[in-house]
Amino acid sequence: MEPDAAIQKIRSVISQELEVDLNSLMDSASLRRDYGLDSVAAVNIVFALERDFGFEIDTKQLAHVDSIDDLKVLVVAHFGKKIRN
Amino acid sequence: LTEARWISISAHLIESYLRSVARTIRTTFIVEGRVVDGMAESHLNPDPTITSILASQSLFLPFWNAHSMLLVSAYLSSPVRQAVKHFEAAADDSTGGRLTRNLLERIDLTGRTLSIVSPERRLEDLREILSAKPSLIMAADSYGPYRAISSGMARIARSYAGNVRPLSAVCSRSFPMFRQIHMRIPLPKSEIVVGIGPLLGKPTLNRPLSEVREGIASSLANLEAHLRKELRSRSLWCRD
Repeated sequence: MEPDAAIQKIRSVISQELEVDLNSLMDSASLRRDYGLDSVAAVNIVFALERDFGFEIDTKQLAHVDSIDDLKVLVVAHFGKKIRN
Repeated sequence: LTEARWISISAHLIESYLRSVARTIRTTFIVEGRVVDGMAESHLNPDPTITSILASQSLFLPFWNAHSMLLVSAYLSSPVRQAVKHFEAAADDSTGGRLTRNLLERIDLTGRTLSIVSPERRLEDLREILSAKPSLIMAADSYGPYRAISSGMARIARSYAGNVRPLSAVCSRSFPMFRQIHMRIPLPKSEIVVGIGPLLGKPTLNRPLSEVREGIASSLANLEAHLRKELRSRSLWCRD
């Protein structure tokens, strides 16, 4: 999967889980404050990303993620090679 | 006195009181609107309707925190104990949650911690719950606001894919504990009516989250109102 496609997948998963229109999602906005992310939604997003990307994400790291930008950094930094394969 | 010791002593006192009272109270179950009578002394096994419903795998039973001690009392006073052996009861890791967890262990109910103290731990706890989907009894308003359904609770219910039933209890004579929660403790020789409502199916749980929250809250409110009506019809004065 190409990085751009991976990022679109992240946005799509977040849009679906948080019931926010994909086009209105801002990558720098706070997922918690602006889009109502709670801990259950965070775990559901992890499940969806793991299913789509095919590898396991350390759930604990989600505690420090508060924006799509943060999530992109997490995914690309830790799993970039696997995404590209 | 350490907090752990205080929790242990408090749980012991509550357990002793509830076990003592459980021998004197009458518990009635209303399952999907049907009355199922019975006391532990007169029935070795719970009604087949209850057994059948509770035997369902990955069943989620949300209830209001206010009813937790009434439900524990009903559990101790009826043969339903055998039917809920495989259930886990969720409690957080606040002081009140740890007290609940200690009490649950004393009455042979399996507790499952859902942290509110550590965000990292909470995510791991939730991952385990959402992966395993154990049959779960859980206060739907665990740490407030009380008698309201949070988005997280609605999402947990949704993850159980339509295998969700509201659980509620009312009591003829009780006294308050933790006024903020409106928790009630049964008095000796009181009557407890426990209700297990109809399934909240996928059509309810697959709606937008705000409607799921409202749907769960109203199912709990409707069930409680039905139980109060049943209790009144038995000519018993309901104080709570």
